[in-house]
Amino acid sequence: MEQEDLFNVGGLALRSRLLIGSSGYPSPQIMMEAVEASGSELLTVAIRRVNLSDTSGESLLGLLTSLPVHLLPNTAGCYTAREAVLVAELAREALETDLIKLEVIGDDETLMPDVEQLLQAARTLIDSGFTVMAYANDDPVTCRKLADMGCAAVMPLASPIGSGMGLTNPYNLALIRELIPDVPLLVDAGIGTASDAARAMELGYDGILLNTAVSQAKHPVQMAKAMRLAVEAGRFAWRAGRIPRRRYAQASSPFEGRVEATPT
Amino acid sequence: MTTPRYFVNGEARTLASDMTVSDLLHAEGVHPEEVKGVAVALNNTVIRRAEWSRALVNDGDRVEIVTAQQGG
Repeated sequence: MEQEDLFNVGGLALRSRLLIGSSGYPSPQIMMEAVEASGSELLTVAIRRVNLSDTSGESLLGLLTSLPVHLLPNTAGCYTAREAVLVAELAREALETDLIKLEVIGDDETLMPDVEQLLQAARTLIDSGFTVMAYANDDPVTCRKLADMGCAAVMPLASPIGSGMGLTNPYNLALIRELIPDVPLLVDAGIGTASDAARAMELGYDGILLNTAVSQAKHPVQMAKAMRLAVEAGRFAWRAGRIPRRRYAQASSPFEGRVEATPT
Repeated sequence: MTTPRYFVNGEARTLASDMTVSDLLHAEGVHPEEVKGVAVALNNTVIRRAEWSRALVNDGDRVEIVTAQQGG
């Protein structure tokens, strides 16, 4: 029997290589169904102020307890290392997990990371015992620094968050994988449809983190399933090893024994 | 002398004397013994759940009460 291809990250051994976000679904019910259809075992959540004007409503956490997922809190919305570290500490206290998806955003238009603040926050959090999964630019140097520092996973973007543009720089993503063979790498942000996820996996990435591509799809539950299959297909293809590209055709059927019609 | 007050999630409140973080949470309708998944920061420092009944809120303090919400 084929050995199970588990994804080990931050002390977890996951069967699914698809990490999914919990934001922006048409309804909580559809979110639940989509997460289930995705097969994901690691679900991202944000840390936000409790709504003090109404503490009666069903909490997200209450809803999520029925799902077989681990929670991955994020530091979304943080612009400085200081903010990100505080949010991570609050997340650890609230959710009793050392896992943190570290995001330190540089500007509102691109939502790209502020590298200086990101590296500083990653260092502080690792020193405080956090298991850091760092959302990064698709820059081999930054990714290498995060990996060397001891991040549990480094997660370069395919294209800006929520843009759905897919892999805008597959060359960089391939380089990052080649240069960092020893630390889990995920493509986080920018995935638009299933083929984007498959393509990233075919580059040898360990996993995909996405949210909008599913939550804002016309049919989120169906797209969640499509993503699950795409991530699996891409992973299989990577492990199987693709054929080299050639510039000219090469017949698949043998030349020998072919039928020759008599010239008339 | 102005009335002592504190801020919770950005909103101003009047401070009672000897108010602890636990008292504050009860006043806001967040009951520590029932609520899971909540964390508190007092002036940018996380107060561990075990410290809630001891940590005092002072004049001008800024308190954040947070939980997990939908996010990507």
